Amino acid sequence: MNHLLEINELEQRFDVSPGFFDRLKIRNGRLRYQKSIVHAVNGVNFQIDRGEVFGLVGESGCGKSTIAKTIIKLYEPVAGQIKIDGEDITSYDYKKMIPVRKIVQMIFQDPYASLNPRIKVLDIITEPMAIGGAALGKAEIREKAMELLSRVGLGKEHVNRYPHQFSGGQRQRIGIARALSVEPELVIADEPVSALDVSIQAQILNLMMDLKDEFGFSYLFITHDLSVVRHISDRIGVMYLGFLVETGPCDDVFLNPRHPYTKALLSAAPSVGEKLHIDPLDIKGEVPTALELPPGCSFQTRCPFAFDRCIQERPRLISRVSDRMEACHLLDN
Amino acid sequence: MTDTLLHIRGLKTYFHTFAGVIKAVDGVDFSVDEGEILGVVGESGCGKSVVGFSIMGLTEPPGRIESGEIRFNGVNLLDQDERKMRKIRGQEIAMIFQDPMTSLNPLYTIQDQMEEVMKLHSDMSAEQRKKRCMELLAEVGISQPETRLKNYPHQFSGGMRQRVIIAIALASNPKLVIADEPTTALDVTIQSQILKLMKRLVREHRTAMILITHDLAVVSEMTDKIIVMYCGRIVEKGTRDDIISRCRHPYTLGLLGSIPKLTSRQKRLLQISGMVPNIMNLPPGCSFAPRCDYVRDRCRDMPPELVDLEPGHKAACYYPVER
Repeated sequence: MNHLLEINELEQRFDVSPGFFDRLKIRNGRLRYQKSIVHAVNGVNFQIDRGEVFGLVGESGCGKSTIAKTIIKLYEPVAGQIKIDGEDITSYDYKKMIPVRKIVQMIFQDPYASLNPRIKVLDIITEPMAIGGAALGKAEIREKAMELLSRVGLGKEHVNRYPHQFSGGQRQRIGIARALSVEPELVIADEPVSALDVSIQAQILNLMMDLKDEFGFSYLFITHDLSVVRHISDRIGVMYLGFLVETGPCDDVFLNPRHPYTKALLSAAPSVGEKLHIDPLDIKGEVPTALELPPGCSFQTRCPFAFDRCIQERPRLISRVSDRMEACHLLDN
Repeated sequence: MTDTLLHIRGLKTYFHTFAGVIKAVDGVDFSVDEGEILGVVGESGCGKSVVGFSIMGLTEPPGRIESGEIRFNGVNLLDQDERKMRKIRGQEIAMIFQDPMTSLNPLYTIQDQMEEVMKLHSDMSAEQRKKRCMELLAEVGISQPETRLKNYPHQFSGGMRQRVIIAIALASNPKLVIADEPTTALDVTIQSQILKLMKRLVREHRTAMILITHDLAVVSEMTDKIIVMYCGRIVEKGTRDDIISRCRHPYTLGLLGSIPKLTSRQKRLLQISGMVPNIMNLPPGCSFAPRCDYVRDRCRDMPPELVDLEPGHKAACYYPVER
């Protein structure tokens, strides 16, 4: 049985070099012409199975959104492999991607930027069906769109309105309806609730979970909010500086984090009422720049337990306990 | 020990726009004691930031303070002219803003910006000022303060800038610090560093603080007292425990239920249905009535007053939730 989504050694780099003259630098008495490369994703592996919710957490700049955009080929991967249902789509061009987009759909973070302001809601939702070359007639497509709209909590009167006439939460509902219009098997949700107020956030999270139970698709759920990820995920992956540092079943990771960064992240999370029962781990300093990755482990600059090997050798994500994987030398001892 | 530092009564701040009058703050009463941390929570547009700006006297047209009283140390700030307000601002009341990227001037060094407060409010010599700047930077956890003082804001990361802003706010030992969403723009691990730093400094200097935020989790970890706002009014106020574990107003209950828990998994989140009403066209009764699960006829006719449930715990609701 193939995994619905499989990512192997995915790498993504961006050239952010400035103009010609700014790139000329004198170093050690010699003129150099240097490139600035952001190492956004550095060899990430994970799989998502059918009906599963995989949560990807990490702080800003850790590469989680880049992974999402690379999976649906908004960015071309620099290295690695992306397989959807066993099919290697890494080198697919725009045309070949069209049928794949019927399997993988995306919900974006900013509900104000992800809807075209000049298109009416009905057209926004029917567009993916029309492009997919669905064997449906115009009337059927329209009917299906209406059904979807009422399913996500919008009414018939909303069909002919433009995006600016809606609030943030309603727009996110439109975005969800658009993603579901082609009946995808995997929905990538990139921070779908972080732009929303708390009460609206709960509405959208409940809706997303209800829809998942109803349609049975999988989620790749990307967020920086630990309580959201805890609520929604079956399995989670924790990212740091473009590396996946720990993966495992959501409950296990939250109850018993193994990687020092996961421990620090979880103990830093503010919570209402009860706190997590983990030893507080304070880390100093800030995330290093992705322009120059530290040698060895990406976390060694802030890790209180770092030792020689952490600086010399980059740890690989390996499994030591069943279902769990961590990239940390400490756990080898 | 518990002297009232700030006392606000019947504060109304309205914005007169062409589309109509926005009652951003509509009759708010509260007080802050010396050395106390007060949290003001609410969703966007509830008027929580306008409360902060009103205290600082920073409301700009079309915004206007219609009525009310802001007594700080016994003086009504609304009677003070601009010259007197400038004396109070920065020296007695300091403010920390949300966005660490825009609240520092990019054209001046950190030293220039830190010294500005001291130049305005004290007669320290240049040497004393520099020494004080270095002390402050060390206090907020910035290493190599001497070299860092000569840096410009763009040479600092977001968390570092927020540290600098905190240092500036504390430069003249103010009695009250108003922090408007101080950690919203920061990452989780940095947020916890900054919150711990703020709490430690506020306690050490015995400064009072008003922490304005949408994040109930942050408020529940930081504050002594909490005010919950909805559509320009206070719907519930009390001690931290009153609000977090014994809240009575349906809105507070809904807000707390909307937040997923870190410790356990729920099947579904408790949700508040509908949306915040248009603030220019509020319902005649309780503003929360259209979304409330416990609504009855009376709620739709007359807005409820904020009444005592227990000593110190108030809610603006005719039928507070029994728990």
